[in-house]
Amino acid sequence: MTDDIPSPCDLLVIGTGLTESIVASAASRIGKQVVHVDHRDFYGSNWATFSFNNLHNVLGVNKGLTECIEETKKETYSIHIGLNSNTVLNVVEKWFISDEDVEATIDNQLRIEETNNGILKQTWTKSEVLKHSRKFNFDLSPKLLYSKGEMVEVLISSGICRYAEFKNVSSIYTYDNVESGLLPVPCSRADIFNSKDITMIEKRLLMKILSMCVEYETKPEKFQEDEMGNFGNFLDAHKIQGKVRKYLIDSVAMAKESTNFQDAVKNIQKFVRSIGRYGNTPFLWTLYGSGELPQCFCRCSAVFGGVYCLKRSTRSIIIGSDGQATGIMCDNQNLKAKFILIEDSLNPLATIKSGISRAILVTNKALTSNDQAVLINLPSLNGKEPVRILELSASTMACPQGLYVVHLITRQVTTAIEDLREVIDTFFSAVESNENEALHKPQIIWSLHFNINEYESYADMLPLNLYSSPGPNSSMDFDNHVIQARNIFKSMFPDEDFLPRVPDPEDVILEGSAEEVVLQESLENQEVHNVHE
Amino acid sequence: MEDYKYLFKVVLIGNAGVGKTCLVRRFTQGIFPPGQGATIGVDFMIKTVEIDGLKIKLQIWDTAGQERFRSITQSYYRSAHALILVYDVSAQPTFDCLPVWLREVEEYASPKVLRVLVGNKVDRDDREIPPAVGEAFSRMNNMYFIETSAKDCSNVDKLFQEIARELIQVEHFLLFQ
Repeated sequence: MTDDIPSPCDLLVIGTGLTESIVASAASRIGKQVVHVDHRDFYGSNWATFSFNNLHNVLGVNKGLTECIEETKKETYSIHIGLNSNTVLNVVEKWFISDEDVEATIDNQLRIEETNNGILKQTWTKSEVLKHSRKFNFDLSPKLLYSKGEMVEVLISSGICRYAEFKNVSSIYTYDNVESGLLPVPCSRADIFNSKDITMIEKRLLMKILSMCVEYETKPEKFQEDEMGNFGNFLDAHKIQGKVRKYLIDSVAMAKESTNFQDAVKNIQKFVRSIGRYGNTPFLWTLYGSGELPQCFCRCSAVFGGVYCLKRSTRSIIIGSDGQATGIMCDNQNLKAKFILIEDSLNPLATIKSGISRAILVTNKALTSNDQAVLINLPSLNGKEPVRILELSASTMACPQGLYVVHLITRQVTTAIEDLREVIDTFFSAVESNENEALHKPQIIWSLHFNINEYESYADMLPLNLYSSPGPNSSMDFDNHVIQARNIFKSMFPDEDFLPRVPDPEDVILEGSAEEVVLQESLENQEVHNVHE
Repeated sequence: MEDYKYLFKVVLIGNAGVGKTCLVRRFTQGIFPPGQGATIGVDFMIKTVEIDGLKIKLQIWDTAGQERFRSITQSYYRSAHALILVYDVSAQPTFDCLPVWLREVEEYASPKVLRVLVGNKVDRDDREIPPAVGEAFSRMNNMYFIETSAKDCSNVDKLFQEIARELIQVEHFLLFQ
């Protein structure tokens, strides 16, 4: 079998991030020949999920990528693909536990029994954690699915949902700075009326605002012109204060006071409509991590003939004399394609727009009672950006039993360490403290800080048949990326369906002779069936 | 109504050209060769087998060609009950690659997955890997071993029947625990 990648093809995709993978699957699905390459040795680019060991390998590799080699062709020119750009930077890893197994096993058992009244406590050592390397799934870009959002709809309508499993986010919290504590956000109608945190009048107000926003398009007469500046003004106009205001801004609208009214309403609508479809909160989490989703789309593309090739250095994009991209140099092969899609972080014509500050913690205790996944939306304080915390338990396949993986996400202002220091200090303890405080704060066992660059590219700077797709952003859900992927697909293939349903494998009828065999077999099966009855 | 007692997910891996798709198509449809491009759009194949009067539905997943450039998605391995690692008894390089495949299995498949090593194409007279060598490798790596030919159909049904039998036993064992 030769090592040559088929060329020419209809669509060449560079980078296996989410947006690229969605477009690849959509193109394969309508019968286009797709070649999908990535210079990395894993799927997902900046959306990937890693085990402990893989994380170490990847962050190590990222630091020293090799230089591109000059490559020019007669009558064409080429632009180099920016493999050197470090999209993940300021990486700082830290262990907060000892290296050796100082605690004897018997001692461990004793400790577990001692604290048997509700809290199971276990002492972890570094070697013990690393022994479970593959049980950890660390996301570079953890994201949730709105149960009635774009991602869930496309997964269902295409049938691609069969490749992954999901769990409902069990609860949502915001932070009450008056009482310095986590405040559960009531999501469903029942939650609101059962809540002990707000008064009857507040409950009615909250319900009124929610239904107003849901009916925004159908009953616009309920809104005054002057209310619709930013979301804060709107809440002022309706005298929404205190906890209800916090629920609405931090969690339901996932916004800030200054957020544009229309954007906030759109989020509120998505939130409210998503409740009750799969559970009490509007969100789903992907088991084994968000990095599964790009792979699901890649699998779909491969099933429909897409050619997949990791570990291929993609050196340059070749531009023909007419200004159109003709293909890329991939190792020593000149791959030709009608359309090319490249992820922003590899696109030499894309520029850094902003960044995301991230931290991943492994802790020994849940922040709240958590047996699944919990989302905590912290308000923006003193003009700082809001921080979102996603705490995952072992049941989401994020870590071994007894530990928790905590993701912190915010817009980058300085560095991940600086941007997240205050929040981490508030909620977590770096040292094993005395029993009393340990009852309040989870202890950090391991932490990783990093920043991810966000890029932007201007379509008018690119050849018409070269598309650039966005990497992960700081929002908590996938919907924008699904919309962008659909737009890219529609712009390439305007008259084609976007990800129509994959036929059920049990309904696929294969060609010629096979069909007869299938028929014959089903008859045989029927006979067997009858005999048994 | 669905008429089966158990549903198991079986995934196939191994180098390109060792006959993974042929094994599946031979087993599920009784045909050989399956013909080029026939797998486009087919995610997995289904066949119901009967073990001791119990109907067992096997959902058999193929690599969708992603093994050609060694780019199988990790999610492919998730939630598999059994994993069939195939090599071609007439092609040494396909045997030499087995440790690389096993490393991937260790990393991404469930530790409890039933692992079966299959030496395919025993009908060929240019065999390079003697049965004893395959057998020894399987024992060293804690796998079941069987030699098959998708072409003359030898041991193909047996392979899947045995997998189904073994998976039920595991299932029953867990029930009684």
